[in-house]
Amino acid sequence: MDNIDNILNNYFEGKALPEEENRLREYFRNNTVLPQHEVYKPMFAAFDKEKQIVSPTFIIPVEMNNQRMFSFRRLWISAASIAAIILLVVMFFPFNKNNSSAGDYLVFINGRAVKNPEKAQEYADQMFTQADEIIRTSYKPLVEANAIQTKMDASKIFDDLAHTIDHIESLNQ
Amino acid sequence: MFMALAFVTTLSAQQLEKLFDKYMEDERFNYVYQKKASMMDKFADLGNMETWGTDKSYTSTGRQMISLNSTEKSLGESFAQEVKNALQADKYEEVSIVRNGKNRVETYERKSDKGLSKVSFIKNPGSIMVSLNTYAPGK
Repeated sequence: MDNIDNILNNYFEGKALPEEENRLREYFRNNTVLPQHEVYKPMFAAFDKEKQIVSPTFIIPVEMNNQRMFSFRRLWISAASIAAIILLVVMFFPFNKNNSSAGDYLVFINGRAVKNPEKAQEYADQMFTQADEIIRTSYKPLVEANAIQTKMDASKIFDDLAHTIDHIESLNQ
Repeated sequence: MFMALAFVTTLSAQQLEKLFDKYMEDERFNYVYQKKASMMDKFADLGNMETWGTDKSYTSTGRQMISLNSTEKSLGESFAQEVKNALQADKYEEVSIVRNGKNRVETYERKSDKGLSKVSFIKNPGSIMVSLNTYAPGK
C-alpha cells in the first residue's frame, strides 16, 4: 500500500502518469480501500463520472445541400423551438434593445460564407452551443470535486457541530 | 520611437484575431462571428463554467469561434501551435486546463483598461476549436 501512497502523492503534486491515475481509479473503484484512503474515495468517484466527449459534427448548411427532407416532425420541432425562443425573449429580456439580430452574424462553413442571415444565426448558435456544452461537460468533475472539498472542509464541519451542540444545549435548558 | 513601439504593441495584440482572419475562409475550417451576445447566449452562459468568473460589470462586445475539422494529425498540430503562439504573443494568461479523457479544454484571459478577452481552446480527437469572447467595461 506504500505504492498507493506514493502514487497519491504524485497525483496531488500533478506528477502522476496516466497509467498511475488509472491504477488509482481502479483502486478506489474496488471495495478494498484502506481506512486511511477512504477520505479520497468520494473525490475519485466524482472523477470516475468523467465521460468521453464526442467531437461535434457540424452540418453543412441547408442552402448548400438541397436534399432537405421536409417532415411533419421537423415542422413540429421547429415550431416548438420558435415558441421556446419567443418565451425566453419575453421572460428574460422583454425591453432589451441590444438583442442580436440575424445580421449580426458572420458564418463560414467549410470556407464558404453562409449568406442567408437566418441560417447564419442558426449555425452560429449551433456551434457556440456545442462549444459551451463541451466546456460545461469538461468542468463538471471539477465542480463536483469542489463541492466535495467544501463539504469536507474541517472548519465548516466544526461550525456545524458547534451549532448542533448549541441547539441541543438550548433544548436541555 | 514611442509611436513605433505603440504600433508594434498594437500589432502583437491582434495575433489571435489575425489567426481567425487567416483561416475563416479555409475549407477545412468552420468560422462563426457574433457581433454581441444575445439573450440566448446569456441564458446558455448560466450553465457555462467559463463565464462564471466574469465580472458582471463587463458587457459582451462580441464573440467568434473557429473550428478545424480534420483528422490530419500534422495540420491539427501546426494549427494548435499557431494558436499557442498567438496566445503567447497577445500576452494571454492561462486560467485553467482540464483534461477529460482524450479531450482537453484550456482557458485563457487578458484584462486591460479596454476590457476583457476570454479564450477557450478545445482539443478533441479530430477537431480543434478556439473561441474568443470580448467584453468591454460596463458603465
